[in-house]
Amino acid sequence: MSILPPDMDEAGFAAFLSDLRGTVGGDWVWSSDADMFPYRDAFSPVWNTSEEIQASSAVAPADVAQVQQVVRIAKRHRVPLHPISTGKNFGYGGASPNVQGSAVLDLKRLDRVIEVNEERNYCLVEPGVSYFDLYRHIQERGLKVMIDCPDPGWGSPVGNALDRGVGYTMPQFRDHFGAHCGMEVVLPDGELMRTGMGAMPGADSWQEYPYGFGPDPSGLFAQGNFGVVTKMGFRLMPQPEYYRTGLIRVPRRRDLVKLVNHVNYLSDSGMVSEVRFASPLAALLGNPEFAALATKMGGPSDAEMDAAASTAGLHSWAIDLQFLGPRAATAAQWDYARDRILSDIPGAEALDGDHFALPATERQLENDTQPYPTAIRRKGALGIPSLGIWEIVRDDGHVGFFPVLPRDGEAVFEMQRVLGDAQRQFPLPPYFSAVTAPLFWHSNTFQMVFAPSIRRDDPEHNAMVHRAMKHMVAVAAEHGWGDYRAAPIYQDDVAATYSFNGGSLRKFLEAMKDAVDPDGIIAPGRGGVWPARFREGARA
Amino acid sequence: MLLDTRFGRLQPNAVSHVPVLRFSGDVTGVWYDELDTRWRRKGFVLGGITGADALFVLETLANDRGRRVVSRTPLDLPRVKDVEAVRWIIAPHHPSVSA
Repeated sequence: MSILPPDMDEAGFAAFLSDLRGTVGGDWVWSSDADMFPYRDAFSPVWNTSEEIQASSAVAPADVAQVQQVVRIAKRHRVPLHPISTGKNFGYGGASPNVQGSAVLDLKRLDRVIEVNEERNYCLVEPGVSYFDLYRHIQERGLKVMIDCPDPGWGSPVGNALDRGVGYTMPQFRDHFGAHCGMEVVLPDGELMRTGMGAMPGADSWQEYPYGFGPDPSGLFAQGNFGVVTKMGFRLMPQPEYYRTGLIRVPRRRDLVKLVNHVNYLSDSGMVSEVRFASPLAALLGNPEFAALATKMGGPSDAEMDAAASTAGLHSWAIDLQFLGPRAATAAQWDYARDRILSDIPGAEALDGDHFALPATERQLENDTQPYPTAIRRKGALGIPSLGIWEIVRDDGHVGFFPVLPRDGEAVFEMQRVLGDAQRQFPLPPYFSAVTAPLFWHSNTFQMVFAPSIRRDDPEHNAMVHRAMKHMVAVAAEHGWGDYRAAPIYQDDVAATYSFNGGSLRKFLEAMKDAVDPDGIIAPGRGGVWPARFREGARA
Repeated sequence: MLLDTRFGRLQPNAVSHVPVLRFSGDVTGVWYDELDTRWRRKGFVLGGITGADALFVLETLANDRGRRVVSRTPLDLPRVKDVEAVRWIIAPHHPSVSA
């Protein structure tokens, strides 16, 4: 293997690997090209270029004690570790590190579901547990709780939450970091720490009260590099009795403003699960004349869009609503949502959708009996992990930029216009147009998506995508829209946009990093937070 | 053996005694119901003709269980939604699952 850890020669690397093998066993340390291939970012736009960041080696400890020993070995040899849970972070860097030559700390063997409590509605899991594993554990035991999983569901609750991933059920569960409750962490010196009530010996409320007493450092471990999370608790939804859906459509472009406000009310009142916004006019994008209008420089006028909708006989916007709970409650919530919106927006229409008792049948999960077009993926909506979404992956994968924007219709229009104009210089499909709908994934904010595909055999295309990503991040930041999650090759660009008061947040985080991890052992550069050892080189 | 029905009603050649599982693009069912359990045990060589996209998913999951694609041959079949058909073999590699 030609890749060495930073500041290390071949002999030092061999000594490091020897120490790792002595701790975890020779079968669980890797450094050959073939063994390291899966730890490269399969979706990288800089694949096989000088910008691709690759690990030198990987180690998979069996338990927390071995994790502690590995961290101490890395500290002794001054080798950066890049912890991963199941390594499925495709589109956000996969398992690739921020520093060339890092050793991947692969936590896949820490795969115990430690507890699922169906009376108090929580679980406690290790990082190597996937959503499929947790789902299977619950199903095999007939436990009456529902998980909230991303799509695809092969990642881990710990890894996904630590990268602030999302799911598709009720607001308090689909923000996965927000739904966590309590964690155990191996610190950069190998010490073991528990947060919240986990810090109190004998406490039985670790997964019920996240804060304990005093400052809560949990946030430092999400998109952070202050420790290796080895256990994490999550709140779970009690298995709902019933699932109900409904569609509301509004005629005019401007109606989105009121529609968003109504959804905000319904969601923040705990009445609806994930709401899918869409524009029925998106079906017209195959028409060159309409596509030119929807992607017009500076954006089309409301009148132009309303005229196009009228000519096509389509509504301007639609929302897919989903309700979870007792049957009578879901019926009352749908009635309320429908009446509230239809009485406020002239011309609005409501359509009753499928509704059924849970658990759903296989046929119900296929979601092919809705009386209207729907973008809802039923499995995700009902907390059932799937791999089927792989069908949307084009070429050899993609990179993702998901700018956060206010839950406000006017803000949606502004992002459509600004980022639509910004991406025009790149030969890519129109990710932003006058019919682009907001994503309502995180509990209290919107996002949009820019996810151009990459092609292994087309470096010119990949270079264009790479330039486009950096350009979009920069333009969005000029308007106060920041990315929520990024691959290592973009984390510095994104972190630099969170620059209030001369970057005081980053300075604070790096001061702490220098204090607790002076050698930069744990994921240096993750989240744009660099220890002094690497800072100058990283910002050169 | 796994066969991806997106590429038609493929017939395994000269291996008629081998159990065949069919799916259409989405490997969730065959992996969750069959492979996840078998890949946790030692041994078990698996062959298939699938889309390259399905193979990527299977290869990633197989790697989690100490297995590798040891043979990979693109097939001269019509692409389906720009997806190429591939014939492949996944076999145990890591000592923890080698027979």
